Formats: sequence, structure tokens, C-alpha cells
Amino acid sequence: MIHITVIDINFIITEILRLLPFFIPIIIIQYGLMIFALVQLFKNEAAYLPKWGWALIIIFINIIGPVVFLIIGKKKEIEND
Amino acid sequence: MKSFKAYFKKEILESVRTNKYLILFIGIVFWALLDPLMLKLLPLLMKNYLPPDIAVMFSTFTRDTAFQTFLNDLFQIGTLFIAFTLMGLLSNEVSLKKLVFPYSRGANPAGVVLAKYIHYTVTISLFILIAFLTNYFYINRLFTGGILSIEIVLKSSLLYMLYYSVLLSILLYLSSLLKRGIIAGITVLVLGYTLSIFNQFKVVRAYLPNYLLLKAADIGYIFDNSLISTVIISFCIIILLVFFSILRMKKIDVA
Amino acid sequence: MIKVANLRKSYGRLEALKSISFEVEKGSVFGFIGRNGAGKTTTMNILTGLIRFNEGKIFIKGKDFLKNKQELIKSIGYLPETPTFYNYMNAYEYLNFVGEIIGCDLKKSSKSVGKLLETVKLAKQGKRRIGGYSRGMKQRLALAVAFMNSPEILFLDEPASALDPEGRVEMLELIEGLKDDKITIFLSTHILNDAERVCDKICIIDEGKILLTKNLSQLHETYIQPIFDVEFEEDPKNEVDLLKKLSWIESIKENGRRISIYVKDIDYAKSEILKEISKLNTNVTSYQIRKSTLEDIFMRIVSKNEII
Repeated sequence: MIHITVIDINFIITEILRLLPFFIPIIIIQYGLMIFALVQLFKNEAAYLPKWGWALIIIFINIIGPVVFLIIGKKKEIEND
Repeated sequence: MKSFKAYFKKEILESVRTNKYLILFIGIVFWALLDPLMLKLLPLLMKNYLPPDIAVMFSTFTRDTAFQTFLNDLFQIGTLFIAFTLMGLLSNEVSLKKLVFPYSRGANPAGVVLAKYIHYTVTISLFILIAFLTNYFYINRLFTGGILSIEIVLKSSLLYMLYYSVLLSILLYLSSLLKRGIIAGITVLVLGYTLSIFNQFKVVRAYLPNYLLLKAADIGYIFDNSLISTVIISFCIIILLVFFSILRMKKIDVA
Repeated sequence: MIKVANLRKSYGRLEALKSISFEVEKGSVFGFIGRNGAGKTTTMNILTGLIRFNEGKIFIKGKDFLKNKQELIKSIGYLPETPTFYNYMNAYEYLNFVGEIIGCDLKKSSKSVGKLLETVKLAKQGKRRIGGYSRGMKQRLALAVAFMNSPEILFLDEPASALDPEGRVEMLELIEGLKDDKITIFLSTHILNDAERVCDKICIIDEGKILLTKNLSQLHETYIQPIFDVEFEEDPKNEVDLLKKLSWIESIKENGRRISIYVKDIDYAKSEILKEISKLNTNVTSYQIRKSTLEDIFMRIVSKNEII
């Protein structure tokens, strides 16, 4: 039983190593988006939440966090004056 | 035509400057990358924790089932992204009084509405095409088995494009009708999700746009005669709702 | 140029305009005066085709506005009270965008866009996003939009309200300049000094009703007040009592060397009052008929409306 598990772990590790290149675009998009949103947050006034609140959301909620910020978090685009 | 051109350019500028392209791209294309990987990875990581019969089920994923999983996720998450990004399509223009100057200088409502509809239909269709092709590429690298081919993927993407064109026309019309975009967005979401329930009923499903999604996942039999009525109805919905949106924007008080 | 007959507009139960009628002559400055919420902006939004109305007829340049809206609107420029733009654009992009809607020759328009921005003193900030503009800057950009395609009729809704004192003076000078160019101007304002300075005709609106439409000069004549302000070299003391005995004098307010004489008949008083004063045993340093400012007139008319 233990023997089988060891083989499994080896198999899993080689599989993950094989899949690694496929993660590159995903990681680029994820971190690129996060950095882009943080830059936008830094450059614009934030709406609804204080800036640090948005920063936490952008950093800790993958993809959705930055997107939500980009849709509703920027003050200039939603208000008139 | 003048208003159409002016507003088409304006929508492009707006989509760039307010990150709409970026958000839509991620909302549609990102899942095409993430989905197959997760599908591959999850059973590997969970292998020791899952009961054997479920583990077997996970490991029998073929290229076909992986593609179907992507289609399903795209519908669920992509719709969310599209609805919330574009919910203010017309309502924001009206409620924020952005149309005062254009209308006072003789903008043609038909041009405005058509420019918006066509711009976003083209944008979303393009992103769908990109997403489907990337997904196909990833699936081919990660999975084996099944009969999935580029032809099937393209046919399936066409049906998704048509589906989202219908959804967009609904969003457009609701957005012209309602003052608050968020209500239009939520209505479209609820409508999109609940209409899928009708795919269980053979009698009515071919008359509802969500049947397009069902057929898009019907690998090997995507284009068949049952689609004719769905496609005709879809185009009718689009034409009618775009037309009603124009009428509404002609009569609406913009100040 | 503009003729409005029995125009009515209601928002649900609220009657914003209760059958108003007026006429604006070509090349004149028409001052539309009223408090906030009197119906000024509603009227302007209707005349620029932005909102619908319930009843009435509008003729612009002799043509029915409803039937020829698309054609007539081309000769109209509108400066709304709080202009809104696409904030992500800069001034150049916005003016080009509007130019494209109007259908100006684009080469010509991109040249005149620069010129327009210079006239409204935004040339330096033309490449900045409108979202970062101050209210005054937005107001000036809005003016540039209203000027595009050299309109024959300009609607200006509170054009000076967002401007600093300097900008306000410039705006008034600009309006006076436009008057020379034979452009018809429909100006709404609640700053009565401004209206008095530039308008030919004044129209007072209150609670959706037009209380009065008159030429400014006529207005002053009609609303001249039967008050004479006289100033003496020394405190007149009991000299004034002599005047009080005269039958055509209603009352006299004393304030040191200055007195205000309220009379019953202004025309009679004009011919008699100097004679009477000269009989007094004191020297006069100044004498004048009190002029009503537009403000006095406005307050009188509007307060009368409230009583009714």
C-alpha cells in the first residue's frame, strides 16, 4: 500500500512538471492583471472603499478582485464632477 | 452614418481607456487556459483522497469532455463578466446625461445604438474565437481521446457567438429601458441562467436561444436541422430588440 | 426666430411649465429669469430637443420644431448648466467627436478645434483628460462645443454660474460680442446684474408661469418707483414737515441729511417736487428719482405671484 503511494507521488510530480509550461500564460495574466490594477489604483481615486481595502482585494482575490476594481472601483469614470 | 462612425470610434476609445477590452478578454479567454489545466491537475492532487470510483471518473476525461467542461464554465462565468461590464451600455449614457451634447448637436439615435451593438458584438465574437482556439490548443496538449476537431470547435464557437449576440441585444434593450444598469445586468444574468433549464424539455428548447449552447456542446452533431428554428428565432430577437432600443432612444428624455 | 405658444410640460403630477408663450427676435439677447426650479432649464431642454413636452407649438426660424427637428437642431448650440462629457477623452478628442456627429469637414474641424480651444482658453490643457477638469474648465469646453459649426441660435443655461469673477466678466463680454455677430441668444440666469448688462428683452418665469416679457428699457420705465432721494447740505430737521403737509406726498423717510420722498403720482411729482424743495430754507446737494434695478423689479413681480 505504502509502496504504491510512493510511485503515485513520483508520477504526480512528473506530471506537474510536464504541465508547468502551460501555467506560464495563466500566471502572466494573473500577475499582469494584478499589477495593472494596482497601478490604476495608485493613479486614480478609489470609490466605495479606501485604497488599502481595494489593494487587499486586488492582491488576495485572484482575477475577480482586480476585475471588480476595474469595473466599479475607479472614481473618475463613475462620477461627473 | 455620421453618428454611427463617431460612436463606433468613441466605443473603441472608451473600451481601451476604461479597460473594457481587458476585462472582457479575461472574462472570456482566461477560462480557456485555466479550465483544461484544472481538469488535469485536480484529479492528480486529489487522487489519494477520493474514493476509487470517482477517481476513475476523473481520469476518464477525453478531449471532448474537457471541451464541454470549458463550454459550460464559459457560459457561467463569461456571461457574468459580459453582463456586468456592459450593463451600463445605454443606461449610463442617459442617467449620467452624457447624451446632452451629442443629441443637442444632432446625433442620430439609430447610429448611436447600432454602433454600440455592433462594436460589442464584434468584440465579444472575436474574444470567443480566440478563447475557443486557445482552449482547443490546450486540450490537444493535455488530453487524448474523443473526436474533437478544429471544425467542431469553430462550429461550436459560431453558436456561442450567436448566443452572446442575442444576450447582448437583450442587455442593450433593458439598458435603454431601465435607469440603473445594474438591474439590466442582473436581469440578463437571471434570464440567461434560467432559460438553460428549458434545455431539459425537448418540446420547447429549440425555440429558445439557450438551445444554441446545448447544441454547441453536442460534439459530432452540432449543426443539424433542429437548429434552424433556434437560429431564426435568435436573429428575430436581435433585430427586434435592437430596433426597439433605437425607438426607445429616439423618444427618451436625455436631459 | 423662436416662437413658443402655450407650451406645457409636466413630470408626472408636477406641472413644470404651465402653458408658456413668448417670442425671441433674431439677433437679440433674450434673458430668461427665474429662481431655481422655476422652469428655465426645462424650457431650454425642450427648445433644444432633448426632452419631450406635453402640449404647445414651437417654431424656430419659422418652421415647426417637432417636424423639422433634425434640420433645425443644426443651427442651435446649447450650453447646459452642468455640462457632462466622456471623462476619459481629452478636449481635442471630444470636440472631434462632436464634430464628427455634426458632420463638419474633419480637416477643417481639426484646424478649428485648435482655434476653438484657444478662444475658450483651453489650448494648453487640451490634451488632458476631461475627467480632471475643474467646473470652470468644463464650462469653457462646453462653450466650445456650443460654438461648433457656428450656430445661429445659442442657448446658454446659467453660463456664468460656475465661473470665477474674471471668467464671468469674460463670459459677459463674449455674449456682447456675439450680439454684434447677429447671433440670437437665449440666456437663462438668476444673476440679475448679468441679465441687466447684456439682455435686450427680459422674461420672468416663476413656478412654470411667465409673469412678464418686456424690453429692458420698457421695463425700467414701467417699474420706475415713485421715490425721490434728496440730500441736503445740513440736517433739514423741521423743514421736512413742510413737505409732509403736501397732499401729493405720501410719506417721507428721514435719515440724517438724506430723505426719501414717496409720492402718489410720479409724473405730477416730477414737475412739482423741485419747486417745493427750492422753497425750503436749505441747500440741496443731490436729487434723484430712484431707479429700480432688475432685482427690485424681479422681487416685486415674484412676490406678487406668491400672494396670488
